[in-house]
Amino acid sequence: MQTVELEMNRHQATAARAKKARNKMQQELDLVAELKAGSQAALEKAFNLYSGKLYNVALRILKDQSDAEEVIQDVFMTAFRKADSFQGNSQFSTWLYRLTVNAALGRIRRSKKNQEVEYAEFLPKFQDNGHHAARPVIDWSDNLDEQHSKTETQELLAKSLDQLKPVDKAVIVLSDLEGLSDREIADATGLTVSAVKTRLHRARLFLRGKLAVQLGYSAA
Amino acid sequence: MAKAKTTQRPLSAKTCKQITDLMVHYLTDKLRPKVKQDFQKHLAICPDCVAFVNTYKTTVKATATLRSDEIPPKVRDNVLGFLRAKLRRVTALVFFLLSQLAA
Repeated sequence: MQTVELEMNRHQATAARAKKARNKMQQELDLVAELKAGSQAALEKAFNLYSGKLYNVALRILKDQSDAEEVIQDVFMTAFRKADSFQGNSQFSTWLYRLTVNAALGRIRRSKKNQEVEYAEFLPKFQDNGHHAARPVIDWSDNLDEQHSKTETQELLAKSLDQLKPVDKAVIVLSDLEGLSDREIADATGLTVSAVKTRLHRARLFLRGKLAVQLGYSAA
Repeated sequence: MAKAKTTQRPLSAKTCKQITDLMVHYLTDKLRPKVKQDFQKHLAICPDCVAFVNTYKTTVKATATLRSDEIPPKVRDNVLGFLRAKLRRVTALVFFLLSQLAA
């Protein structure tokens, strides 16, 4: 009896989630239609809905508040002017992420001031037979909160994020901070899904290595 | 596509490197059942990989805490002000052009 009830609850929750997703999609479609009609109110509505997320994505990639601010200005002007070019092949929010990532990466390319570090030092190493080179691998997952405050960990991660290659940084921000799927990240960055996975994995390994070293363990 | 097939080929020799390479798929539960079974079998006999999976997951979880939806009020006001001014200029230009056409 309990199993049947649990199953029914699960179905109801799934149905509610699906309904919420449909409503959200319809709201996006309405918003896009209004933008295409040149509604300034729609632009402000879009700004209120998405500016926080997009600003933080731009800021993470660029590390500079005024650069991020300019990117957001450009993104919303472009969204208003080129709303007609939005085909609806992806979600409107994914299209906005794409405009943001392109604008931010373009800025970095032009400025050429990005400082990257070599990943190799912080990636795991393996013996020829495929086993871990440094054994035993220490499980420090429970030590992180004990040895460092949340703020200290966040500061270290933020610094380490800044050492990633710009595209890798964009991928990890969209994935692990914004929660986009690999497909959506591929749409937003112009990479293949396979390339997204590869870059995401490498970036995570690098961040893991940085945390391990900070805690006094081997990155390997 | 071809690469994905190669990556998810059932593991004949389960090495730690192969397990590490499958981590992204494992975390999103995208491994094919046979591969997932092999992955879990490897974890059952390899404490090093268990430690690696745990610390990898912890890293992903800690990274997620950097997320923010906040936009500083000053930035928000600046950008909204910029957009409104820009749109006012565009509207004024359109009205001007229309009046010229009418005249």
